[in-house]
Amino acid sequence: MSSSHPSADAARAEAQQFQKQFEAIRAEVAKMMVGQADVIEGVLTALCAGGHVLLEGVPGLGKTMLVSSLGRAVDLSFSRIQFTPDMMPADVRGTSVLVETEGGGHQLTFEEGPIVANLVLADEINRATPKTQSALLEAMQERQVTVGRKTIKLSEPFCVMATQNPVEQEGTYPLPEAQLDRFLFKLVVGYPAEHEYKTILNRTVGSEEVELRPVSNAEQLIAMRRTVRAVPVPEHAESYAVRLVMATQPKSTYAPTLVNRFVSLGASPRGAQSLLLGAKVRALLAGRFSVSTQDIRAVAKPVLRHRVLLGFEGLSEGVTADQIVDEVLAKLAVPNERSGATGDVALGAAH
Amino acid sequence: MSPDSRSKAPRGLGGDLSTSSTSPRDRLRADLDQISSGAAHTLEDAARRVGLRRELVRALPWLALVPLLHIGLQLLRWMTGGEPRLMSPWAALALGAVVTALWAWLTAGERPTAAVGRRVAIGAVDRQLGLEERLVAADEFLGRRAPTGFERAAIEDAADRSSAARDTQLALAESSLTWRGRAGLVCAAGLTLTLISLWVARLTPRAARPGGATADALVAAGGPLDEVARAAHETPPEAPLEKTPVATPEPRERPRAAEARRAESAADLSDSIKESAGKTGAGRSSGAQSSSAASDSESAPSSKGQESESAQEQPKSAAKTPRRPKPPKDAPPPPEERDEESGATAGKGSSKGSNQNPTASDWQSKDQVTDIDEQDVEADEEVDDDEEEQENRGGVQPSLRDRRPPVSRDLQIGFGNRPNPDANGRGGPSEQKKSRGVASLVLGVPVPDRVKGRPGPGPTKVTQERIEPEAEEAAPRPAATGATRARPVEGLGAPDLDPGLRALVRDYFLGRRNRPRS
Repeated sequence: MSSSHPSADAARAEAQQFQKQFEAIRAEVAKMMVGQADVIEGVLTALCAGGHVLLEGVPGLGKTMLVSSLGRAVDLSFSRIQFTPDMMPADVRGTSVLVETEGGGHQLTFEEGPIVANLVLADEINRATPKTQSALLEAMQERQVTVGRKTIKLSEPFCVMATQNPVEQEGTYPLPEAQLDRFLFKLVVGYPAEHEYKTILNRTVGSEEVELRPVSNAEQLIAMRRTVRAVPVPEHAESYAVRLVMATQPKSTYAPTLVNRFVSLGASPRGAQSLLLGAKVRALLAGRFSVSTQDIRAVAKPVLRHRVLLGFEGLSEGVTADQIVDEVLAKLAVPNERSGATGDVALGAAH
Repeated sequence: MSPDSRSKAPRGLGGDLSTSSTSPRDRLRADLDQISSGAAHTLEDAARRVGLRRELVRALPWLALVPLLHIGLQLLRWMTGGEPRLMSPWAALALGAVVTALWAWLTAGERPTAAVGRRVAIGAVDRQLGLEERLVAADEFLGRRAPTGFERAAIEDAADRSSAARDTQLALAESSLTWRGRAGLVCAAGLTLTLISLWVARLTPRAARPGGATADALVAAGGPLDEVARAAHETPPEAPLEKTPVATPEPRERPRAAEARRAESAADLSDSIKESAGKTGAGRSSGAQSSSAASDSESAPSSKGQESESAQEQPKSAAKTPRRPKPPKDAPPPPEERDEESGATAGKGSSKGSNQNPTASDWQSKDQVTDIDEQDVEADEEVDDDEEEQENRGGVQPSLRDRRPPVSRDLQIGFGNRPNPDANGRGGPSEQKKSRGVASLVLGVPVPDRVKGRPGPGPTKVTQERIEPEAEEAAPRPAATGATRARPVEGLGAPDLDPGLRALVRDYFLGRRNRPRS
């Protein structure tokens, strides 16, 4: 380890182990989940970075199956909460119940809710009311649950993977901004390709059953998270992440016209943290030992799309958050790229 | 290179990166110095070239300006009677090119070239080689006093690639300025001007023209050919004479246009007056209508005055356009003009309003509102009736027009669940103050219960028991028993609005939003 006597060999070994573990989990999940490679990588990235994931997609695309497969591939305590409109916060956090003791008396005992687990699948989270959705706030940010005077520390690794249907659908409640900001990534699950349909049908309609085995555990996952945290961020990459987040805030120095016109609320500092954490995982997967601006650009969309709140005019014009992020990425200058007098000089093709 | 391959080929840097004398760290630093200096030099050269090209584009107009100036000088000289040939037009063109180049070179030299920073230079090589900022990051990590394991690994990773980067020549794709089209235009203009200059140079000097000199001499002498010479100098007078027949049909059309315009304005005026007449006539009583029927004639003095003014103005306008045919005074006006004027300027509508004042005004229309008059009449009749009643009672009593029914003191509870319609909150059957009023102090007066409905069942006891879930067996329902869908599922698309309706809604809300809040 690189804690007391940091050495390059130890770092390389850590990085190698990280890659190996990551690939093993990905391969195991891919046995069940057909296609959706980007989504699988995003989910695993968030798991390794110590963040939570919000999966959005129309019903039937395998969001729930992806998370449950991940729970089986990673040997973690897995809990599933099916959010419904009549659900209450106590159904998530737990509550004190009166239990009859052996002597015939009664005693208040705290009964833990399903949130107390390593991997929590919050299925169709936007079917519950915002009151119930808010029950996750403390757990997601501070890794603890407080009920009355009782505070329960959640065991690491703790990860909430929520799925939601598009907000426009019937019977859904949009997630509050405070909760959206707590998700590291928002991944959009799309329809599979044509050739993937056949594989899906073969696996699901036939008699063949796919068995998933655990290829990792909590200790390994914690070590992976430690490795991610150890990846250094150069100054130029850090400032680029900060400018990227500031560019999503209307009336800021780096905000392009589209942001000033259509965005009412930009990303918070938590967005910059998420950018760097996601970029670190990506750098490790790319075989690098430091973060580059390309890594930040690669994770910008899943990190920022749910942190950009469109204003009335943006909604009426049909502008999406992805378009805003694309515009920000296109307009924001990357550090170490020459501008001004030699702005007309561009690099030729790489040799 | 992946961490896997890196671990297979350890470089022996480990923890002694900072202590080894011939460490790759120093080598990397030297390589990066070389890379940055070379790349910075290349970038600055490229920037200089781009700047010069930009100034060249800006100076391109000189290529046409110099031949133009040459032509101007040639013409000036020719006008003053000199020889128009100053210098060779081709030489002027060449001079323009020289001036263009000189101007661009001087202005580009005056502009300071920004120095390329070390990171920018290394970053350019980084991008060219596709190293994903390994060199830039390593350059930064080299400056840290106590690098972490990952920073050391990043430095070693970059050191592996620095030798290749050092030998790489930075290739820059200088973006093409949009100067080709402009340069082509300017060159064409320069060539054209040169040709014009050539033609001007072939002009004969004015002093050498034979005819002109003889005529001038004759004019100066004032001899018998004076008139002829003047005629030769002056412009021929045919031009104004030729224009006269062309102008003749114009007066015929002008009165028609003027008449049409007058007819239009009269029609507009008549419409507006008709409208006002309609408004004023809306509340007329039948008597007013009948009495004003006699004044429907064209004898309104104000309108007549206007008519006579217009009649007086017509000869003036006719005097301004002399060729306009003057209509006879006795001739009656055209029928359509008469019809329009009859409603517009003759004041028919205005005189309909009242028999007191023939002119239309708002005051009249207010006076003519029938229902108000009728209300006044009815009110007067009521007052008269009251006075008659008071006189019958034996004297004049205070006016009882504002009298109200007395406060009801009925203490009944109400009309079922409905509130008492006579509730006034003044100690009467008011639900709000009944319990606090005098009635609540009186024994035996029933105070209504405010809680409607059945009383609560009392406290309930809820006990929770731990019960293990038990599986319940249910008979499977065969799928065949389910009914088939009668019709296909319809489209489930989002109910988007039409573009027009959507824009309308958007404009409405934007307008509401932009409106200042009171």
